[in-house]
Amino acid sequence: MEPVIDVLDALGLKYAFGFVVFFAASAVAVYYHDRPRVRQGWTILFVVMLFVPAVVGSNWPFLAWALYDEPGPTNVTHHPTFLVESDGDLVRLDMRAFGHGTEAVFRGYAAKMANEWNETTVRRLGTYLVAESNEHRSRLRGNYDFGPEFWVPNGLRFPRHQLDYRWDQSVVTGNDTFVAVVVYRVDANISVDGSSIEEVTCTPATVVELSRAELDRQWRPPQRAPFPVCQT
Amino acid sequence: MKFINYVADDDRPSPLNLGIGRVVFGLYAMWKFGTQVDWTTLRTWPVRITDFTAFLVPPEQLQWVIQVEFWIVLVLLVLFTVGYRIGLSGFFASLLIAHMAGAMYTISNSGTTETFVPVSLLLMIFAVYRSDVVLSLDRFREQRTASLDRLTTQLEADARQAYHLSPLKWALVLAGIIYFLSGVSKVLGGSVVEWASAASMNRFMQRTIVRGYENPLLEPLVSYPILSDIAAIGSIVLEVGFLPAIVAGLGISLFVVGFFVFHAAIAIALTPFFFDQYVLLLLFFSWDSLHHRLSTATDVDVVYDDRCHFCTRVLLQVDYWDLRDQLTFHPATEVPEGLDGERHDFENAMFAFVDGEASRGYHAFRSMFAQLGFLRPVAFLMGVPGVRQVGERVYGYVAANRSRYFTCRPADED
Repeated sequence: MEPVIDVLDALGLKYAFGFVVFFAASAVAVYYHDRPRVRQGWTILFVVMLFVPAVVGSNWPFLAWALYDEPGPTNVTHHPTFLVESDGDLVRLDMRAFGHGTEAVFRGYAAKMANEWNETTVRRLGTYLVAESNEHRSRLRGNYDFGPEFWVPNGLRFPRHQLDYRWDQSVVTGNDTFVAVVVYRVDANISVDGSSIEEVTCTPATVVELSRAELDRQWRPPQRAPFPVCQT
Repeated sequence: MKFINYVADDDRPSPLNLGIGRVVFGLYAMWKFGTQVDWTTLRTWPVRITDFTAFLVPPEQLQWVIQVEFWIVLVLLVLFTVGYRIGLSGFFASLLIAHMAGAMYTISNSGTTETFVPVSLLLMIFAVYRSDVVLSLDRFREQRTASLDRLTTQLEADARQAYHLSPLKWALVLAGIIYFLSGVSKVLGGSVVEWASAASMNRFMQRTIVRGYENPLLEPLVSYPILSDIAAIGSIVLEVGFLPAIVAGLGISLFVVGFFVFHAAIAIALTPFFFDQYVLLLLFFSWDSLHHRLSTATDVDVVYDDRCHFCTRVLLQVDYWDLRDQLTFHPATEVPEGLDGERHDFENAMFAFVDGEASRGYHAFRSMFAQLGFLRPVAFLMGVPGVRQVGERVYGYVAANRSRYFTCRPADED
């Protein structure tokens, strides 16, 4: 089986193969649901497919759930990201502008923008963030934001939580325009016993400017991000 | 709180747990799918963060497919929840949700997207094991072809039959595997002794501060390391031990309550990350025991039209909820003497007798529901002005036309 998986992997088809096999087998099992042997066979496949991703170390969503599998870290790197208004003020991203639910979604993107992606990709995403944030602010100002926030009744929404940051009125009513996005790199050392955060550095890692003309030419991102752990 | 290990025994004296579990899960799936993700983001977000499920992303010119799928899935989930063609609705909802979530995963690899995996798998389990699903429109429809004698015999039988609840058994295995993989990854991922220490747990807490969040549990955990020890060791024991306990046929209530407590602690510390797990674990709650406890101890004698196929099928649905054997069904053609056959028009309506007091037609249903645990609020609603008048009219229409529109055996056949 392993050579087959290797070949499929090389062709980039490993996951497609798994997807097709599972749903094809499921279609057969659903059709012949009254035959105990068919149900039994499907169940064996079902259990095996739950375990295989973990055994082969695949990053199959959810099932190879290596969440928090390492001991608590002593070094933490985080990439808070801010929009920059033309007067240089920094504003935290509101993920509703892009249709994403929480900031957790953006954590991986920010790290890649700061450390991994080439300039073209970083610029593409940065430009999008700025443009969509401006658009979102206009919609909020004009009260014509018809995203899920509009049509999902309050009682059906997920309870508000910390990762669900939203702009307050002062941001919404601000007259300025977003013209850039800046990704900071925050490195923190945590004491071995976990009792305190010992050392923090906060530096700008990436800046994407939508229009240099609109931003003061002398503008440089503040060396310390306006971020709680950087203020201590 | 009692939770049932269906791997130890998937037979129950009633089909309630599976029926209620399906409805709770179906409503949750509709809510999650319909309100928690903005699927249009797939068309607008410019960069992918993961590629391995990219084969599920429709090409540029076919991106509208996702929007069409969205509405199809919502309809399928409604059908699944009411139990209509569970095979088809469950299978296609499972497939389309897997497709959409897989495509979404390329731009949003967060827990919100990942938790569609168990949703999709659970739908498929129900579709494959649908022959065990009794409380559903499917079963009601299937009973159309059953003989009237069989239905009346079933309705009037005293002995309670056993119901296989296989979908819940395999859902429990799924839940066990999910926790087990998470626990084992901690054991194999590094030093489990270090992971399960107060220091490690406290560093996790400090990380939330680095990421800019408030964490009300940080102070108590750092001040009282014993709490961190309990949290760390407890997490490992619960996650790794749940699946073996399931397979060994042991009780699972302590594990489930433990998960509830730990997920609640995470919600307090940061955010309700594991909200979905509550719904998954509620599938194994002993709904039938609670229903039994909420039912009254009052007996009800019901006189029904045993020549009416449709009426008998409807009453069978009510009988599934009668866990205390409170309801005794008497055919209108053989009314016991004590029920005063001369005073009541048994030929034209159903009657329920509670403590010697008779209620007729629509109100006979109310009398039955008023004794049966979870159906008691329904009985209350049926008495609300407006609802009552409509209900009486509907009952009157069905009763008057039952020979015309519904399958009934003519009296002269007897």
